[in-house]
Parts: sequence; structure tokens; C-alpha cells
Amino acid sequence: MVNFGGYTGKLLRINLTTKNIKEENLKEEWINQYLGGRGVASKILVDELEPKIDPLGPKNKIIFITGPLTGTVIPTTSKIGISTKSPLTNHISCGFGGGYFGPQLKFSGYDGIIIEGKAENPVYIWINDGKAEIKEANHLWGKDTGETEELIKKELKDKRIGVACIGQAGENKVRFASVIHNRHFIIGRRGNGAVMGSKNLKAVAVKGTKSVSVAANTDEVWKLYDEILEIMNKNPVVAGFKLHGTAASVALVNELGFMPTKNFQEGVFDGMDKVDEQAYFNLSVKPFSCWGCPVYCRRILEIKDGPYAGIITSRPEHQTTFALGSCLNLSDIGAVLKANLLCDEYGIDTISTGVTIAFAMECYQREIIKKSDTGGLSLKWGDGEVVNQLIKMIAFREGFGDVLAEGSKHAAAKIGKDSEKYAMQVKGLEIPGYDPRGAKGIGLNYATATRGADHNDGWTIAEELYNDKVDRLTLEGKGKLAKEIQDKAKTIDSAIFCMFALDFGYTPEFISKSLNAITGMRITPEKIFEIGERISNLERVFALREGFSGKDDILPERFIKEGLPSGSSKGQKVDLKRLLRDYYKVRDWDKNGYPTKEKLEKLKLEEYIKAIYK
Amino acid sequence: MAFKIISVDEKKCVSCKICEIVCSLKKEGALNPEKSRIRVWSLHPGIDVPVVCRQCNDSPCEDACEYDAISRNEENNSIVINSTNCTGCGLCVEACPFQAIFLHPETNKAITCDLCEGDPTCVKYCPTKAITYVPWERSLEAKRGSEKKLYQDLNLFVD
Repeated sequence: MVNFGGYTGKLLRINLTTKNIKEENLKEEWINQYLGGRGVASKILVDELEPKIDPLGPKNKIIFITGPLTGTVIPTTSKIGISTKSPLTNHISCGFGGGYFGPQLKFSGYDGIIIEGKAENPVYIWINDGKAEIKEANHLWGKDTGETEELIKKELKDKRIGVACIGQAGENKVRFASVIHNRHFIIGRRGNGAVMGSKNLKAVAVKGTKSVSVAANTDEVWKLYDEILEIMNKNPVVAGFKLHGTAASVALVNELGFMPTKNFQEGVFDGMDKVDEQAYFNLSVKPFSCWGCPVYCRRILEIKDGPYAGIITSRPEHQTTFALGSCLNLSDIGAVLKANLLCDEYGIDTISTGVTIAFAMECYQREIIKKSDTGGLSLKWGDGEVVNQLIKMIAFREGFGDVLAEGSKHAAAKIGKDSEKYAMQVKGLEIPGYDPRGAKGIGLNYATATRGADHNDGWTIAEELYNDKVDRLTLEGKGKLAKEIQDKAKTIDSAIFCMFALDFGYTPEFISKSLNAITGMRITPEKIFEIGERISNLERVFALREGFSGKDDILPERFIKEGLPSGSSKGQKVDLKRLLRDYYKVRDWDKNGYPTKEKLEKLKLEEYIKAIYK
Repeated sequence: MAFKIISVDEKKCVSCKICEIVCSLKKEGALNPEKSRIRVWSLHPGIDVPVVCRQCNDSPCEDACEYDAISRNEENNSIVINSTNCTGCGLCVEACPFQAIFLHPETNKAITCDLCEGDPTCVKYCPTKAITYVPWERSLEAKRGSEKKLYQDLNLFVD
């Protein structure tokens, strides 16, 4: 047991090959160095995974992880982290989803679960109050994510349990298959669902009646809670999120000319007003929330009439609006909502799905592929029916869908004919919904983030959009900006807070104060982000060991050579070389993107020097 | 008799379950929804209904108890559980038409809402005012009549 509040101090290790289940202690050294959540999961993966293993083979492991604040009354701490070696990027793939699963796992008695091996037949894992079992799941195989969750709840006779499961796409090892919880909460990116599928693991279900321990006395907890609620109640971002969630920014990003359109060929989407935050709001049935969060930024939408009448789905996020909307030049809100629903039911990431389909559409536009390649489909921009047909073909790996199910990078390699130019990805991960030419910091983050082109790994957008002192188009200071936000994100992902906590008014002082109250540790505001820097460098070690280096810190050449054709960011390109020089310098990395030995020593990562300097 | 109840407008509930966690912190000093006196039952992902003691006139829980462990607080009309008498047999849990009385996961004694001495913590922290503390006559529950039927129609509970 650990001498800290917040943690249960216990991890569950489940081997699906041997069916061995055992409890292990969370090491105090990990807490001191990596806090919890993403940091601890990355530490385990770096230490336990052999370099260069097949992510879809039995040697890969998948970790469900919580942080010290999970299950406490401190708001926005409900996220569950799932980490593994990604089949899309060959890199660490820690992804996060909201909902209830994180707290439920904690209440069941564990900080996390490490899943190894491969089951012979389909199974799911059931953890009930400190007892774990591997249950047969043949009857669940082939079911979508909503059906699977319902069937498991029925079978276990309890609607209050938490279920995280895969759909058909995960079973079919689509490289960007997601993990879904409670229908609407999604651990979306980099194919964690495919790794579950490769292990014949359909779902993990959890329930528990254990309390989360707290170091401080109850009065102190109430004081902290009242303090943060008062801050959040006055925060304008919170107010905006209550109405529109992350979709609040789509119209603004379009106005500023960097809403990726037609596979990033353009930065202004003419149909934006048909699928923007207001258009969604008009279809709103009710808001809903993650566990313990007073922001309730999610909404259920329903289409009442027209060809898509009867579609009920959660409101698409900014990213989905881009990937299944503007990126495909699709402005039919019904088709976008149906695409969103299908992605959630089959269990595939909306960003990678949309951007991979956009890649195919651009190949079709340029006659690199023809109807004879697509099984007779004409991949015309903005055709909602074709988009939804392709989503199904990807999830089931039917015909041309089998090519796209590999993600844009691998699909381009199969198609050939110079098509990789149109695969909008970095390190295999499809690029999210901010054209880097319109916000240079996010471009630098896409090129360098340890998870590939991932917006949440270093969301510079908040600064580049809303801080008057930051000019989104200049290069100056972007190395420092990207580095600092990437490091902050790692700390946030390890505590675990929602990535928007900093935008909701959480200060480093409040974060350290709440960590100290819950756990009993004594950590200063200055030190909390140093943990994040350590994790950024640890994950870089993983990448270097896999054979990645500075030469992989790139962006598709479109962003470097072609100026945006119109709008408020017209003519903008990215001078990535200059951005990278600045970034490596701020990071204390050499010109090949290797952390210097001194840096690794300073961050207490000296044990990994040998692994990368041979 | 004039009394107040915790009234639930499930249409305003956003499924955050803050009521559960603040209840457990207030009543038990613990972070644990399974020790809460109010529970949010899932109807469908994203659509949930908070359930809390309705202070029924005929109080089936009181009738069901064979150990004289359940009585009525004359001042605020709340249900009071005498945990010395309570054996944890669960008859009250079975009898409650709303599933608003529970067995404590550690002590195995019955627990239910005691209205926090007239200042319910769940009401104070509900971010959408889906739960309010109002005189019975003004409550949604009084207007609707039989809640039990509503809950059955909603297929709220798994049997």
C-alpha cells in the first residue's frame, strides 16, 4: 500500500493467454516521478514492452489507468486513460475519455488494470469490488458498442456498472478503432480499440463500493470544492462550454481561415453555418455531463424531420465537425450526425475516419484512384451517402474499406502513385481540425507531439485564439509555447484533469493545492509541470527506441509549400525548420531530436541514456 | 401537515451525479456514491433520473420493517432509521416503491435521506436545479400523482 490518499495503491494485472489474474502494488517511486494516469502508464509501457513489437500481437499490453484525483469531488477529474502501443503510430497511445468509467474503476478498488497476452476466444473482463474474472463473450462478438454495453448490463443485472467496449471495428482491427463507454464517451484516437480486438477482448466492466481515501480533513475538501466552483461559475469559457461544448470554436476558426476544408486544400468552409454550434443547438434535446462535472458540456441531438429523421446522437465535437464535415466538404447536418453516430456505434475515431476518407476523395479528385478501385463508388466531395457507406465499409473492412481501415499513411503506401502527399498525417496519426498554416504553434505541436498529430498533446489553440499577446501567425516564441503546453498536458493527463481545466480557471496553485489535499504530498505549483516535462521526455525515449528521430518530426509538404488559397489566413505557410530549431533548443534536445544526456539526468531519467545512446 | 420534499425534475438532470458524491461526503465524510442517500438511475446513456426518499404518506418501508427500526421525524417528515435496531435484513429496500432506501456497503444498515436538517446538500450543489427542496404542494411530485407508475413506464430498474 502507498502512503498517499487518492490512490488505491493497487493495480490489477490480467494475462489473457494464461488467464492469470494478480494484484500488484503501485510503486511510490512512480507516484513521485510520474504522479499517476498517463505518466505511470507510459512508465510501465517503456519498461515492459520490448522495442519494435507488433502492436496487434500478443506481446503488446493495454493499460486502463486513473489518477490520484479520479473519483474525488474535485470537478473535471472523471477521465479514464487507456494506453498501449498504437497500431496506427507504433508509438505510445495514451488516450482519454470522460464519463463514469474512471471513478467506477477506482471505486472497484484499483488505480489501473494492465492487460497482457491474447485470449483464445472472445472474452470480457468483469471487476466487481476487488474481484476480477475473465468472462466468455462469444455472444457479444459482432455487436455494436451500444448493444454490447446494454447486453453486459443486462447479463450482470445492474445498470450502474461501468462498461468500456469495442464495436465491430475493433474486432476487425481497424487501425483507428476506438473504445466506447456509455455510448457517448469515447477514447477515440490511435486504435486502442484495435489492440483490444487483437486480444479478443470485447469489453471491461467495473463496479465497486469502496471509498476514495483523502489525506486532508473533510472541511478542507469542502473548502477546495467551494473555491473551484466559485472560479468556474465566473469563467466565460465554462459558460460557452455549457451551451456549445468544444463546437463553440468552429465558426471562429472558419472565420480566421484555418478550418481545414477538402482535405486541407482550403481553410474556409462555405457550408459552415449549416453545421456550426448554432445549427447543433437548434437540434438539442438535453445536455449531459461527465461524472462530477458542473460544466456539462455535452448534448444529445435529435433530427426530427427530413431524410435523416430519427437520428439521435451526441453533439459532434469541434474535431468531428471538421473531420466528418468541412474536411469532406459535407454541410448536410443530417449526414454529419449520422456519420458521427455510425462511428460511435462501430467504434472508430471520427478524426482518422474523416481525414482518411478525405484522403481518398482527394485521390479520386486527382484521378489517382478511379471507380474501379473503389468498388464502383464515386468519391465526390460532400456526398453524405458515400461517406456513410465508406464508414461501414471501413468498420467491416469490406472492399475498398479494407484499404482505408489501415489509416491514411498505410493506405497511401498501398495505393502508391505519389498519393502519400495527400495523406494528412504525422507519424501515422491523421491531423485534427486546425490547419497549421493558420496557427503555427499547433503545427509545431503536430510535428513533435509524442502521440503524432494530436491536438490534445499540446493544445496551443487556446493561447493562439484567445490570448491577445499571442499572434497565431508568427513563429517567434512558438517553440516555448508548444513545449510548455505539451508538458502541462502531460501533468493534466496524469492527475487526471480534463484537458480544458486550465481554460476553466484552474491555476497551477489550485492544482497543486488539490493534489496536496487529496494525496498528502507536498508539491509546489512550480514542480507540477516539471513532472509533465519528465513524461514528455520519457515518451520521447520510447519513440527513439522504436527508431523514430528528428527526421520524423515533420508535416505533410502541403503545409510547407502551398499557401492557404483564400480567407483571413491567405498565403500562409509553415516554416517548420525554423520552428523545430527553436523547439529543440527550448527542449534541450540535439539537432536530431534526441534529449541531451544532461537533460535526461536533470529529469532523473538517466536510466534511459543507454537505451537511446548506443 | 405542511412539509417540504426534495423534488426531482428529471428533465433538468444532466447525469453528473454530483448529488451522490456530495451526499456521501456530507453524511459519511467519504467519497463514495454507494454510501449516498440519493442515487441517479440510468434510463439510457445520457438520460438519468435522480431518486431520493419521497416521504410517502403510507411509508411502505416503515410497514415492512419487523424490527422497529424505521420511524418518522415529526419535525420535517423525514424517514429516520434507528441503526441499533436495524438488522440489515433488506425488507425496507424491497418494500420501497422508488428504490430510495439502501443498505450501507460496510455496516449493512439501512440508509435513506434525512433532509440534512432542512438544508439538503445535494440541492445546494446540483448545478442545474434538477433537485429542489420545496413544500409538498408545490412539488412536481404532487402534480403528477403516482410516481411509481411513471417509473415503471420508464423501465427504470433492472429486475
